[in-house]
Amino acid sequence: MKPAAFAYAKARSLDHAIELLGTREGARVLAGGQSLIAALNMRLDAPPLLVDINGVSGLDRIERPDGQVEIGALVRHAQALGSQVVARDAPLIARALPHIAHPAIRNRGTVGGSIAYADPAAELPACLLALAGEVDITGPAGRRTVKADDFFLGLFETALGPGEILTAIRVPAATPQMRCGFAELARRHGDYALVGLAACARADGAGLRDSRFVFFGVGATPVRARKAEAVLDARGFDGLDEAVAALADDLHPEDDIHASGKAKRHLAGVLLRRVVREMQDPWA
Amino acid sequence: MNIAVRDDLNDPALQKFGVGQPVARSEDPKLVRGEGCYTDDVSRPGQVYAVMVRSRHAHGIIRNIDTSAARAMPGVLAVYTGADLQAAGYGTLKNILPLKNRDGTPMRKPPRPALPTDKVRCVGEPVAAVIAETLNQAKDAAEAVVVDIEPLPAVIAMEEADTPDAPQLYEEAPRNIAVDFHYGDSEKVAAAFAQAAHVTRLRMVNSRVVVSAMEPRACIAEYDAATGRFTLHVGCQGVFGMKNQLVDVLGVPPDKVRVLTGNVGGSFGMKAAAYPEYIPCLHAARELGRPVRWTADRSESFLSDHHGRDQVFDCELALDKDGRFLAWRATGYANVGAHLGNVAPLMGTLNIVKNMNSLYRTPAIEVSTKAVFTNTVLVSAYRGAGRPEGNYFMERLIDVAAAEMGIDRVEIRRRNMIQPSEIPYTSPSGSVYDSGDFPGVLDRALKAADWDGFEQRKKESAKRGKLRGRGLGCFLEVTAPASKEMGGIRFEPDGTVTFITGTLDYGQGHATPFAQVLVDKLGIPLDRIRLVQGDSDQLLVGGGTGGSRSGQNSSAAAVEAAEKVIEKGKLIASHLLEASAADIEFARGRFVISGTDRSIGLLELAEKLRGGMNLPPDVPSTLDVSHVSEGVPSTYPNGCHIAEVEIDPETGVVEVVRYVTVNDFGTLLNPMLVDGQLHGGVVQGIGQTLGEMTTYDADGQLLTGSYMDYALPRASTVPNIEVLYHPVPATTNPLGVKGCGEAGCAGALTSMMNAINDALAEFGIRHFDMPATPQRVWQAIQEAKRKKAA
Ligand SMILES: Cc1cc2nc3c(=O)[nH]c(=O)nc-3n(C[C@H](O)[C@H](O)[C@H](O)COP(=O)(O)OP(=O)(O)OC[C@H]3O[C@@H](n4cnc5c(N)ncnc54)[C@H](O)[C@@H]3O)c2cc1C
Repeated sequence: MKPAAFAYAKARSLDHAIELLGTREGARVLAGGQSLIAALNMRLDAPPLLVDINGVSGLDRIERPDGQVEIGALVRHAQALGSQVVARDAPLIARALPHIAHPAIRNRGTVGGSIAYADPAAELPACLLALAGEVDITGPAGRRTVKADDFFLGLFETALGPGEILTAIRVPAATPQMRCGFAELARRHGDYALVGLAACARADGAGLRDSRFVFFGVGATPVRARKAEAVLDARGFDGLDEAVAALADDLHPEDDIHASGKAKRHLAGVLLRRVVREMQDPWA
Repeated sequence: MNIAVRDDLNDPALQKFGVGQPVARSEDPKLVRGEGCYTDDVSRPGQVYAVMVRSRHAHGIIRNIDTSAARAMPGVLAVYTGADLQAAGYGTLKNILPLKNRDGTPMRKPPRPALPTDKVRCVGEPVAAVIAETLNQAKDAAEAVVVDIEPLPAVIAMEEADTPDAPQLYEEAPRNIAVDFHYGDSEKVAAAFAQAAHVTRLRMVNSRVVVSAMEPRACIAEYDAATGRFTLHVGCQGVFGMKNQLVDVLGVPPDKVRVLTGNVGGSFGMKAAAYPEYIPCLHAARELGRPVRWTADRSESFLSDHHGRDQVFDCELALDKDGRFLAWRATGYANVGAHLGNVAPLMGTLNIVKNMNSLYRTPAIEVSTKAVFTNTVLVSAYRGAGRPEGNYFMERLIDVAAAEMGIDRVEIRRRNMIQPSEIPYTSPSGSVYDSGDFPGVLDRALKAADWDGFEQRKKESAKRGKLRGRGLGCFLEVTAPASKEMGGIRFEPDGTVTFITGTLDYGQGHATPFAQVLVDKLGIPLDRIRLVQGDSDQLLVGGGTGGSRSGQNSSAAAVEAAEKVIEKGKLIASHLLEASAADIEFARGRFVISGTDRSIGLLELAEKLRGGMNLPPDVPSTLDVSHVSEGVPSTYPNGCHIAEVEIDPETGVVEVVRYVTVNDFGTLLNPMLVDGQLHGGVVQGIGQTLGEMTTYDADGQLLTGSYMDYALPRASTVPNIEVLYHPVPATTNPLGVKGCGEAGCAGALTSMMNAINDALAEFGIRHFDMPATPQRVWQAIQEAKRKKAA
């Protein structure tokens, strides 16, 4: 084994998991383990206790409540990718899933884990935000629901408090008017994105309304390009150049070893053009 | 794959299993089922675990290493530091290259103990070894070793290392220069440049790569107190050479060390050296009386396996008015890293001299290389070890020269290629090219790649908003020089035949092609032949694998050994068949009295000998031979790769869309395996040119320390690779074999970078250095546009 020693407990139920999390300060939820175990193996992190929620029943369902799609926290990426409901009613998520890592990782990694981990370059947090979804959380103080807009707080930092478990995410189901678009640039297929864009809007005549363009890989959290959105809502597709220019105000990516901040902003513009074109004519 | 047609193949066994046939590798079923035995699969009774404590500083003075807390932890048996090894009297790890400075003084080879006592010189350098009952105990204790290092400023870039104010790694190496190497007749070269009609000058980087063998390095050390003998199980490139390196460090007689190697999961030059980690493990085995095992985890591999390439050269080509080459000059740097590795800096010195000239006629050459120490991981041999670098520098120079002079890039190559009629050809570095049809190879490649149809494809790419470029990469490599090799043949009690040789298969699949040679020469059925290569006790000599020498040397040793078996067999058979030895012929596995139907099979004869025969004293009592071949001279594998790429100018993403390679590897022992070698080499070349970017920060921390950041190519990065052959057998070894293991890289670096540069020429970019990551390509396009606008 590679990580530092830790205690392990397998939760029988959601309540049991919450109870276990309360027994040790710094205890952590173990879901698919595809991010957590890697960090432990590199000894970047050494929690005293892992609470394995994989045996908790009821968290691995994909449901279709009225007008919404609900994905349980333990739904594996691969399971979501194979789901008819996701394909039909949450097409943005279906578009994003193949970009997450590789089959072996998608077989274990969970939707809830991706959202809770909140990697700034991950696909699903951006989709959740673009779709104006929400997150169900259960903790020692009971249940609550948090809007995606209020969930992602900082680098790997979310609204989840100590001892809380994310149980499901919910997004509005697709309607005939809904347009979505997705694109990302990665070093190689399956890598975390250098820059990515998840977008959602309502088609209105020749233009878009209520658009939400969420970039990832360009900041500490998924970032809504609010100025660009406003331009597109106001001017329609004619405003594309102006919207791209507005990204200069919306995005402030920093340099990393793969790309300079400047290059990332340029690439964000390239993605915006590609995605908007696609939303303009989804059947092209 | 195309298979050589042989007229002697009326024998069905030869048709299926003889030399030249695409026989599947005998080890494959085992390896793909996970039944191979790599070093870490070996388990020894009573074994304990070693974990290395590594430096987190790139450069610093070791003030103190406090091991007391670690030693008190559960399960810990010992913690060793450099001081312990020094007290035990071990020697240092050696560099074997006899290079001289241009002033005639020898290369500076600072002594390198396995664990340093004075300074650390790169992040990842081991400074202590913790030995414990379990791996976890050793890991936990390793974190408790307190290493007090007084940090010193680090130097990372080669050119910076060679400045008066640069931090100096070794007192004995001012300006961090290990060797100031020079080759060539400066006056003659200067004269050629003076009368040139055109001179092309280009500064080129051959970028640093992390070797990334699939199997990490590992060892298990044992010591037998009764005999005073060390045994090391270790992945390497030749047990005989590894044994000699260890004998030297341990300071014991040669018979006190045994090296055992099982399956090896890739090495590419990297595992050839005796690494520091092996020494504390051997020491611990002796001190503790228990087997001691160590396996690198992947993060350690990044920080401790020798890296590859890392050269920067100013290259110059002098041409007459018709574009004929008059001379070339290469002046530059080779990074050696924190210490001199076993064969560093062969790659940036002698192998540039030998290989940069490639298959062209250039009368005068000059190479000046400063090999410099830096606070980075050691740089040593990596697939080609200077051959791909040299070929790359030449081919880029040629493309740029052609563009500058307005000569077609194919035409300029044709004008300068050595013609078949000029062979044997003595190159300016003294190599004698014995065979080859360079223009023939080029023609076939152009045809196979549909070179002339490019414009159409380019237009089609442009419609999709993509830039398209094509790149030629001709290459010629000089494989390893002659060195002794063993060819042992042993007839075993169970009726099998063992072939013993000192090259080592680390993934190439040696067992099958070497067996094919014996099928051919002795008529032994393929499935009866076993290969022994990984036990130093069974070798009289062994040159190891490296420099693409195994096929040519072990096949020659096999042929020579087989001849000895036949000679002996004739004497024995003549006694048995009651005929004169002169009347005995050997064909297809049988000794026959000429002109009769009386005969005995080779294996039958071996069986009879085992049963006991009454033989007169002048007749050999065994068919076994322990032959030592003198080795065969360097061969000159050559070929032409043609790559086509598409670049998305908006994102800088490069995609390889077509890839063709035509090669002359002489006689192919087994074309299926040669195809595999080519595929692997090309993929590594594509990896180096597109994604693999080793990045250090200014403090000497390796930023690309995992595969999340270090972008190896993936299946989706690689196009279909068309591999064709245009064989001209070598005349200097019995089967006409030429080395093929490194050639894929030699052709791929050149064709890839020429193709990328071809596509970028649209923006007026004269030369773009590898690696062509999206960021770097995009940046280059932006800069070019800015320049144009200004
Ligand atoms: C090589 C590789 C490549 C990858 N590439 C990508 C990629 O391109 N895009 C991408 O999005 N991801 C990528 N991933 C990450 C993968 O998607 C992970 O599966 C995911 O980020 C985390 O999900 P998990 O179920 O594995 O969570 P875990 O690793 O088990 O947990 C991650 C973190 O989330 C917490 N957590 C998990 N579930 C819950 C919960 N229900 N409630 C509260 N906290 C919870 C854990 O405590 C932990 O802190 C990659 C992973 C690897 C190893």
